[in-house]
Amino acid sequence: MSTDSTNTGHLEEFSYNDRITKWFVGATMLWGCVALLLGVIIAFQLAYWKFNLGLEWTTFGRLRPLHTNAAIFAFIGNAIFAGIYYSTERLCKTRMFSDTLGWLHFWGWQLIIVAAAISLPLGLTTGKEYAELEWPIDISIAVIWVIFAINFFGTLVKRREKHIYVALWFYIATILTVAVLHIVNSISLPVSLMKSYPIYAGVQDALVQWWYGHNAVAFFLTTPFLGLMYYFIPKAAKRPVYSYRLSIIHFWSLVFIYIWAGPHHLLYSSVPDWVQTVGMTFSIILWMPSWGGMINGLLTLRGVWDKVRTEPVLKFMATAVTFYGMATFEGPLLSIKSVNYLGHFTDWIVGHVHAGTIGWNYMMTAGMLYFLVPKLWKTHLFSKKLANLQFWTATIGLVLYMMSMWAAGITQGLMWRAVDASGRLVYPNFIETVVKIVPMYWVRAFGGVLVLLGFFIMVYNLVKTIQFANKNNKDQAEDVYAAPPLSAAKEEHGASAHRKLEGLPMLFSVLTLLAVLVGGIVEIAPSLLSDKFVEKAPHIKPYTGLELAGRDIYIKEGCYVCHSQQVRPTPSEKLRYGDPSTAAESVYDHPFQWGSRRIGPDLARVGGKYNDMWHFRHMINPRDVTPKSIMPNYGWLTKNKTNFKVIQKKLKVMKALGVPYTDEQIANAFNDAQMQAEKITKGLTEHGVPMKMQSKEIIPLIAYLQRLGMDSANAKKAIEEGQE
Amino acid sequence: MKKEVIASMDMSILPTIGLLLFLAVFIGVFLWSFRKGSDLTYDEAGKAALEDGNIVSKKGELQ
Ligand code: HEC
Repeated sequence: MSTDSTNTGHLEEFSYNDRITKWFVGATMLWGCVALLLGVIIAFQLAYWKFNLGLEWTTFGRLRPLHTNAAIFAFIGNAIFAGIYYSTERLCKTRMFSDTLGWLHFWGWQLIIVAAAISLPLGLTTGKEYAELEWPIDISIAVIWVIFAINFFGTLVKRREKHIYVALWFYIATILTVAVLHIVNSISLPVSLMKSYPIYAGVQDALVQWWYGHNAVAFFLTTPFLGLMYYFIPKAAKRPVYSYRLSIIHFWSLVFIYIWAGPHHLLYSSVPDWVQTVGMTFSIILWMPSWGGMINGLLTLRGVWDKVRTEPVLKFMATAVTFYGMATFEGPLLSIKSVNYLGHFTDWIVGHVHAGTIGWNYMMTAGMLYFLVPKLWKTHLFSKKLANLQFWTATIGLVLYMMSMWAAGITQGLMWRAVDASGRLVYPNFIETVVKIVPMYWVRAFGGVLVLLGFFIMVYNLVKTIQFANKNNKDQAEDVYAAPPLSAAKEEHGASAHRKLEGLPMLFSVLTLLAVLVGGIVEIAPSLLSDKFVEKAPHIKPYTGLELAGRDIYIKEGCYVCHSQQVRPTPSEKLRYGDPSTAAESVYDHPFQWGSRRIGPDLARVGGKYNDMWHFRHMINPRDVTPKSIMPNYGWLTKNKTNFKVIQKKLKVMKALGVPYTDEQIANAFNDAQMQAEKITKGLTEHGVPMKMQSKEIIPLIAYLQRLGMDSANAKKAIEEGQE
Repeated sequence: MKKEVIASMDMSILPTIGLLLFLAVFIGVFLWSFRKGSDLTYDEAGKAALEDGNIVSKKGELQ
C-alpha cells in the first residue's frame, strides 16, 4: 500500500514502511533474550560442569556455537535490520524499495534463526567458528542477504535526497562485505543433506576462516553500528554530527584497514610469518580510525551532556561509544605479538569480545530501541526509571564480566608459560591452571546474569510502552510526508567530483568493494594459489576412514570450542605439548581445527600420550581420570551408533577435495573402518569393556584422538632410531 | 607456471606494499575531504540527516 504519488508543484507525497521496522524491533527483543540466556547458561556450565545436564543437546560444545550465532546473527542482526530500514528510508526520503522484499527478508531471516536453533544443538555443524551452519542454511542466508541487498540498493536508487549520508556508506560496506565473506568462507562440498567439508584445508582454511571471522566482527558488529551511530546519535541529540569530514576519513580508513587484520587471530601459528606481520601491523593502525569514529560520536554530544544524564537514549549511546573506544584500544594491544602470546587461547580474549558485544552492540541497541519504540508507536517511554535501572545492572554486569575475564585470562596465560630456573614447567598439570580460574567463572556468570536481567527490564519497559500505545492509539495509519523528487534538485555549478561520486551509489559501492577486497586478496590469494605455504611432508598421511568419522564426531560435539590443535613455537609450549605445529601437519584437515581457546589442553600431539582405556574412561567421565576437570561427560558416545556406511562417501568427497585416497582405500572404506574399530575395541575388552562397543561412536573418536600428531612422532622416532 | 611464479615471489614485500597502499588511500581521502567547497557540502549533508521530510498528515500521536 505504497502511497507514493506525485503532488502538484514540486513535492511528492510518500510514507515510510515502519511496520517492518516494528517487527524487526520485536525480533530483536525476543532473540536478545534467547542469546543472552544461552550465554548465561554456558557461563554456568564452565563454572560447574553438572550444568551440562548430561544431555548431548545441552553440552557446552554445542550450546556455545548456538550462543554466538544467536547473539551475532539473531539478536544483533535483527537490531541492524531494524535500524537500517528505519534510517535508510528517512535518509533517502522515500519508502523502502519493496514491501514484499522487506517481508521476505524478515521472515526468511527468522526462519534461518530457527533452523540454526534446531540444527546446532543436534550437532549439525561445519566446525568453523561463527560459520557453523551447514550448507543448506548457508545457501538460505546468501539468498536472504541478496534480497536485503536488492531492497536496500533499490531504496537508494529511488531516493529523493541527493546526498548519500555517511551512515548509508557504512551500510553499503556492510552489505557488500558480508556477502563476500559469507560466500567465500562457506564454499564446501556436501557429504549429505546436513554435512559438508570446506574446500580449504589447514593453513588455507585458517586464513580464510579468520579473514571471515575477524571481519564478521568488523562488518557485522562494527560498520553497521557505526552507521547507526552516525544516524541515531545526531537524531537523539538533535544536532548534526561533530565533523562530517572526519566521518569520511573515518569511513575510508576503517574499511580499507579492517579487512587486513584477520591474521592477528593466527599469531604464532603455522601461517607464514609475513602474513602474521601484516595482520599485526594493520591491527595496530586500526586503532586510529576506530578512535576517530569514537571521538566523532562523543563530540556530537558536546553541548548536550546534561541530556546524557537524563535521557536513556543518549545515556546508552554515549556509553556504547565509550566501550567501543575501550574495545578498539584493547584489540590492537592484543594484536601485538608478545601481548598476544599471553592473551591468546585465554579468557582475556573472551572478555575483550564481550566488551565489544555487550559494551558496544548491546548498549547501542538498547539506546536505539529506546529511541525507536516511542517513535514508531507514537507514544512516550513507559518508565525512564526502569531504563536507568537497566543501565546500571547492565553496566555493572559488564564490568564484572570484563574484570573477571582479565583476571582469569592473565592468570592462566602466566601459569601456562611459567618455567622455573631448572627449565621445567611450574604448572605441568593443565588442570591446575583450570582450577585456579574457576572462581572467576562464577563471577563472570554472575555478571552475565545482571546483563540478562537488564535486558529483561528493557523488554518489559518496551512491551509496556507498546501496550499502552496500542490501547490508546487506535489510529495506526502511516504518516504522510512530502519532499521534492531527486530530479528537482538543482545541479549545482562547480559541484566537485566527489559530489557526483556520492550521487552515484553504484560507483561508490564498487570503490568500497575494491578497498575491501585488496586486503583479502593480498593476504589470502597467495596461499590459495601457491603450494609454497604448505611445505610437502611425505610422512603426513590422510586419516583412515574410522579416524575421519571420529574427527567428525569431534567437530559435532564442538570439542574445538575448548581444545586447540596448534602448538606455538616457544619453549614453554614445547615443554608442555611437544614440537611446534607445522603447516604440513594439517594439509588434510578440512576444516582445520586449530581452535581459538584452551579451556582444556592443546590436543595436536595427544595421540599416544594415553592408552585407549584412559580415553574411554575420560570421555565417559573426565573426573574419573582427572579430578576437578570441568570437561563435560560424554556418556552418549557409548550409546550412539557409528554410521559406518557413510564413511565411503566421506572419503570420496575428501578425495574430490584433493586428499590423496587411493581407489582401493575408498572401495574398502567400510571394511577397513570396521576392522580398525574391532582392533581398538578388542584392546578395551581386556579392561572389561563389552565387545558391542565396537559399533559405538566412542571408538572412532578414540581412533582420531590417538592419531593426532602421530605421523610426525613416528617420523621423528624413525630418524632417531636410524641414527643409533 | 602460475604456481611457480607465485612460489618464486618474495612475499615479505607484500606487507610493505599494503602499507604504502593504505598510506596513499589515506592521504588521498584526507586531501580530497578538504577540497574547495567541501565545508558547505558537509554542512548541508550533516543537517539533512536530521530531517524526515515535511509531514503532510500526521496520524494520531500520544503524549
Ligand atoms: C568445556 C570445555 C571442554 C569441552 C567441550 C571438551 N573438553 Fe576435553 N578437556 C577439557 C579440560 C578442562 C581438560 C583438562 C582436564 C581433563 O583432563 O579432563 C580436557 C582434557 C581433554 C583431554 C586430555 C588431554 C591431555 O593432554 O591430557 C582430551 C583427550 C580431551 N579433553 C578430549 C576432548 C574431546 C574429544 C572433546 C569433545 C568430545 C572434549 N575434550 C570436549 C575441557 C573440555
